[in-house]
Amino acid sequence: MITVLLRPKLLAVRNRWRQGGFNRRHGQDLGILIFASLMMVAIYSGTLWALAKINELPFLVYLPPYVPLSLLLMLLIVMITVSAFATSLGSFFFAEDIELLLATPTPPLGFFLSRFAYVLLTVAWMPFVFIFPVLLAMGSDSHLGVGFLLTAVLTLIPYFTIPVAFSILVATLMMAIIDARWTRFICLVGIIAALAGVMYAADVFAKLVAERNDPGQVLRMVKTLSAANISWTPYSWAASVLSEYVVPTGKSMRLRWVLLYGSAALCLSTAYLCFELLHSRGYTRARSSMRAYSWWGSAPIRSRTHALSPQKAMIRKEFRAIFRDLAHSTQIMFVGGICLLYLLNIRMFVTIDAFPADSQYYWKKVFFVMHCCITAFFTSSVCTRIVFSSVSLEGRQYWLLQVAPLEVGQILRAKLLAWYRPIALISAALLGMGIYVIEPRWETVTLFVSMSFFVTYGIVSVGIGLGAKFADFSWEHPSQLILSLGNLLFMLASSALVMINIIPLTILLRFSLARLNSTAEDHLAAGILAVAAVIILNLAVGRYAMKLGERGLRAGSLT
Amino acid sequence: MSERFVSCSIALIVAVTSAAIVWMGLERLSWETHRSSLTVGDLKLGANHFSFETSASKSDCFGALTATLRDEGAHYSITLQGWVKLAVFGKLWVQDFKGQLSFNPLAQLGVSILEIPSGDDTVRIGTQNINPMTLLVFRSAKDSKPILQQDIPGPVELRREGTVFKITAPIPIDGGLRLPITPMLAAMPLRVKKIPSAACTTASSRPLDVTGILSTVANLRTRFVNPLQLNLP
Repeated sequence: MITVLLRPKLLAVRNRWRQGGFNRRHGQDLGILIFASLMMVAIYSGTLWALAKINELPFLVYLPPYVPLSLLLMLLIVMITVSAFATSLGSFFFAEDIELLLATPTPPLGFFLSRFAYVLLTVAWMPFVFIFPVLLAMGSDSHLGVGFLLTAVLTLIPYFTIPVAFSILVATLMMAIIDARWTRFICLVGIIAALAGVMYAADVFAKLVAERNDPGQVLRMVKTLSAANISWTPYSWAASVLSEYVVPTGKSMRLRWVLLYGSAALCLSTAYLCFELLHSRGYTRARSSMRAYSWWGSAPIRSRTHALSPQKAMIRKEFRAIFRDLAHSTQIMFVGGICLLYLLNIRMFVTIDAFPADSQYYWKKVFFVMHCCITAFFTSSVCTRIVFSSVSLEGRQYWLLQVAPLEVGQILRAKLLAWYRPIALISAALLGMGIYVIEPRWETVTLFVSMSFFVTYGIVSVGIGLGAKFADFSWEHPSQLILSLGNLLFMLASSALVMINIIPLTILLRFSLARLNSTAEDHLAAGILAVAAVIILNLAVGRYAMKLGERGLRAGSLT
Repeated sequence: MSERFVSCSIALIVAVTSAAIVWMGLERLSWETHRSSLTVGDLKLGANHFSFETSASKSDCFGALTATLRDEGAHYSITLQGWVKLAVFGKLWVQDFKGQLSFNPLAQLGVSILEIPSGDDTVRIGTQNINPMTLLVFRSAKDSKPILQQDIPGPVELRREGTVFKITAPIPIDGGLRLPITPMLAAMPLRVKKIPSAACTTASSRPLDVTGILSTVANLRTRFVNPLQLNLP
């Protein structure tokens, strides 16, 4: 039964490749696969290089594989849970074929397992692309054989199953318990919680600046970095098993496997029981009140004395389209929560003052690159979930935009403007706070905050451009857009753009730090060149991506 | 019975069974974590005083230790200074010792040294490297070649919990060190107690009789006592 229910999805993939010889779509898919393969090779080489660097200093610092692995697996499990939640909502409650399937004599277990398999496959393939080269590099570095890869696969199966089953459980409970009329109230509570979180983060930040010289900062950093080492979490068990294979320390691998598979069975069976009891109730609510989920849309329509300009109307429509979708709005909340968590842990950069004066310069660069990467990846993450899918989100109603008195370019620019402003402000605030902790001088903060506006422009433009180029209006539920091949390409492209931007930004930091010494003039030219590089690079990339998207959308519209 | 009832029953059984397995697994994991590491703790920045006792009574202390924890910027260090009062074959003997522990920026023990004056010379016991650590024993301050060199599991780490610091070492509690004197040591009601100030003095202390232990150690002459050439009575 499961294979019968999954067959249409598999046939759709097969037919996509079989259609009329090698066409433009095949070329796109092939290009994405080549680019993804190159990124996998880059991740593999990068991990090998990092391991070699760590191995060079065994007498100074001991970094067991368990520490970076648990950190990586923790980030991935959060990402999988967020994506699986959105996909579960789509495939269990909002997909168009549910009504048909429920009318057929399909056993509930078959329906549940086929949907679970679908969510698992669509959610797990992207993290697998990122983690597989890392594990391959670890195995290669320690000269481990096929046994390690087999162990990794056996460990990753329950590791992926747990968050997916848990997300199905939460999605079912949420849909069954929360009434659509409460959605506005829940969003309001979310906003109040976010504001409280921001105020708390500001308080922590103020204390942080005050206690810069407090002893014990180094241990605080170690404690922050070891935050992932929580022994009762699935990612910690998975990291322990893989680490134990690389460096045996006497920990029981069997015990952790039992915990992993036991937890997976527990989550899956509980999710099924919950599905059996509550799915019909949740599905009925989802069907009967889909319109009511729009918390903006349900606001009373006010009479206007003047019409909105086309651009303003587009921007307003854009926000409504995103926030009326439950999957998107909850994902924004999740990403916001992760951002807040990072803000609360930004204190680890205060340790910079605890390092000896001669090594502070080096550590400032390390922390700076780390912070820039985290901020840029946060921006990319938001863009992956919101900006990239904004064109495709028009769905089958795209024809309305086509007949509107707007050029394709104007539509894309309106979308860019709509998302650029809030994302740029949040990214600038996030980057500025970190930079202030690392280098507490306002001119440095101002310089980098102004640069962040250009970097964000580059990332958001690439999101809009690639989103238009790989637009797909025939989705059943918006969550399908987040896990498409095009989105993977965007993630990889934005990561590449961030990495390229790090080079001139690091040069700029050197210039900024050199201003403290007499060598400022030597670095002035380099500083000016770095500023120019950041501006030109992001403007050029953004412009090219927008053009590419415009051309792609025009060509797509004709066919 | 309907197919739905059967699948629900199986799911319920799986849920209950797996919950029990996970619960037992977590208990086992907790026990394993506790068993695999030794924690020495409640250190604060600055001087920390400890007394070595044979029973709950403070007057029965047989030695004292002052551990001074310092924040050196990028790393931490601990300076040890102490003494023990021993009774060996009916004679009293006060042995001083001092030491130093240096931790790297990741709070892992990098180097440690313990110096025990013995007559005109000094026996040095130390560790280097992080994981595995290398235990080194020098019978003289002038010696550059150790008489004992052995790898032991690491890393020993300094952990901060609020304002208190703790040292954890990956030493199995259930008999990782199976020496002939282990049962004898286990039978002694020894303990290290944190005290507010250096209250335990050589005058007020009562010696610890180690005659039995030394007799056992003497059986290991070829391995330990002879090479160290301790000036024991």
